[in-house]
Amino acid sequence: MRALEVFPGIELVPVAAVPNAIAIRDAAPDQNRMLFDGFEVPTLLAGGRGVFFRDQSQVWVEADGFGVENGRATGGLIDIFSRPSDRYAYGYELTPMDASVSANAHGASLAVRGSFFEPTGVPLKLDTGSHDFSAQGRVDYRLSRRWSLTLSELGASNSNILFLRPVVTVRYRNGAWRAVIAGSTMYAHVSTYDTRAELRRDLGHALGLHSLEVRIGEDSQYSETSASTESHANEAVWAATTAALTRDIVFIGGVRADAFDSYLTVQPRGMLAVNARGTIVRLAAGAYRRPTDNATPQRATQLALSTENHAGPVLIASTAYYVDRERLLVPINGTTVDGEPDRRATGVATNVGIEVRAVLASGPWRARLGASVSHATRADTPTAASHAADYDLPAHLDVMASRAIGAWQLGARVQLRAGLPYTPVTGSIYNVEADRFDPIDGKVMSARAPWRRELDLRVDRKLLPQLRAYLDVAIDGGVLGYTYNYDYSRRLDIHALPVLPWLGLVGTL
Amino acid sequence: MKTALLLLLVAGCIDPVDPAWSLNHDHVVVARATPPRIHAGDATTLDALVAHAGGPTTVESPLSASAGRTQVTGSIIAVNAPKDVAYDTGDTPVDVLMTFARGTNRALSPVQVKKTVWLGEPADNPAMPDVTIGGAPAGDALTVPADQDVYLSTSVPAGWRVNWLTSAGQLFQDDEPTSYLHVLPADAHDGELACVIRDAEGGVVWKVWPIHAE
Repeated sequence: MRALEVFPGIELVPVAAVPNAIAIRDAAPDQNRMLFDGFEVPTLLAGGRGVFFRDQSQVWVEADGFGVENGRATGGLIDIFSRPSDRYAYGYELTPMDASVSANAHGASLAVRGSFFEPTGVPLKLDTGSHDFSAQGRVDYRLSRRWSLTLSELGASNSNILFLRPVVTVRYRNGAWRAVIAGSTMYAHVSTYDTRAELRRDLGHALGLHSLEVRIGEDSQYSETSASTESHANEAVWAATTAALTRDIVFIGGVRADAFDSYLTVQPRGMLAVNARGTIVRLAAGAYRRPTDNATPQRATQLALSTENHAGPVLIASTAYYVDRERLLVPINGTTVDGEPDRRATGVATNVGIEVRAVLASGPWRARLGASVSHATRADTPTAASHAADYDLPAHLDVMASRAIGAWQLGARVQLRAGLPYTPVTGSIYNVEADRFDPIDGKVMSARAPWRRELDLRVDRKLLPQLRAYLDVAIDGGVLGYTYNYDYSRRLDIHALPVLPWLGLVGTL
Repeated sequence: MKTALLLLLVAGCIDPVDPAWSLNHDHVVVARATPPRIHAGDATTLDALVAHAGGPTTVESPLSASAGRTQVTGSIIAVNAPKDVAYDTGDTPVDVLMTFARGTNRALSPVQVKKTVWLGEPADNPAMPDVTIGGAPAGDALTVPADQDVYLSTSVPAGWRVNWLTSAGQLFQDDEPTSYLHVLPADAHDGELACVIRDAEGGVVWKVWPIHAE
């Protein structure tokens, strides 16, 4: 999952040095969604590993806004699509932390991973009695010339999460018509029952356009806590079109209507893409809503101008963006509901930034560069004083390069990131009855963790035609953030691991 | 390889901290009101057991105390029922906020402490129950064997809470009626042992012993 951080706006959010959530630009983890074959799954296992299997998946990061087909998120999306298998192959990978095996046949695949221990707690401890498990599978079956069926599954368990996400997808294709109907359920602490459907018609050169396609669809989710104490129903319908005015000018736009329990929201979104002499320029704008417990839906308006240029072996992409967020939940001082701070939906936030990505693939060389500067602020009400947003990342630089030399491949990666903001604790009140120290917060988000500097060195060596070994050494030791001792008299650094060597064996049969 | 990796991972993540049971750390261990339950308008006396880094514990009076709109600079405060609470509805909790000098760093801002005083039928703090150290009744000064587990035990009714603290050796199960102390060769062999007991009615009692390991 650390490879995702090459996207400049992505931050793996650590708890006690263990990445366990994903922030995209200033959007907190709960404002983003990770989807598996179109349906939401929890994000990370302990240790920052993805719950999905890289070799059996395609992963798309949608940070510049996304189409009306998806909703219930005001930040970004990480789309994981299971890949159909078209060959017989078996694979395995062994590291000091875990082992995985995968099997692929024509039309079916299965992969399973288990860990030898699990990192837990604050401070970090390694529990050799606890283990992570995850499994991903897919079966494709052609029902007829026009109909096909796909069964896919992603599941994981450890001491914090246990979920199983089976997905049934039926596809139909007949000339200019296409349809997809999918249903899924997720067994977890919160069980969900989900459906998605899409009908699309290719209208060819209708209206004198280069090409025109129209789509309509629905997207529903019913969720219920395992104790059946709380349930939510979210229904959405959408309509969209892809219209190519010429071969080089394409408009994709539509509107989505979501019903979050008793709240109805309408979200128009559009994107205009122009290919100007090899440089693709995209202007995207859209409204995004997500439901919140017992409060009006959160709102975001996203505006992004991006460019993408292929110059020989080099791809250079850039994005300038502005995000406006409203109705963020803000705790009401001194009030609690069921022991949790009561909250009201009055918060606002803005984020403005520029990102640049470059990818080089030339002969034995591979290189990637990601860089961003941004400024994200937030306030409890529109008229209140603003402060740094929780996930404000003013600067981020990530450079990777590798070179193949015979059976060897040598690589290096350097990351430089500004630290995340935090609210310092200025003192505490000792509560005698509870035998507990309650912190006294200083100015909100007025301090910031130090800059992060990370260096990864990697050597890959092909040992046999079907066996490869790698050694990855991560050199860090920086401060990830801070915590406090029990009476808040001392601030404690949470360090990244200073040197982490990682040895792996990867094979195929 | 696995053991080496585990050690590497565990070693590098967070700075070591003084545990909550350490008396070798500037903090207010507990505060009490004598008596903890009074009639509205009556006075109660406030004090606290304070631990100091590198020194013995002290019993200190607050620098200031406040309960509702009543503020005093001494240790005796009269506590009145809050205006929005009908006094005849039963026992009424009133939070008393106190400040104490900050351990050995008295130039720093004072430590704040919140203690609940109950208005209603008056009651006293509990008496200190019997304590055994290594199976024998605790005397006025304690001598324990070094590098051995020494059991510390007391008996309290259900709903009461016990905390053990020390500046010599290391404590385990420090918030249980039966705890044990282990003084390693590298630990301080002289210091104090404290037992703090909170009853279910807001009462507090403590006892501190000098302790020596040999």
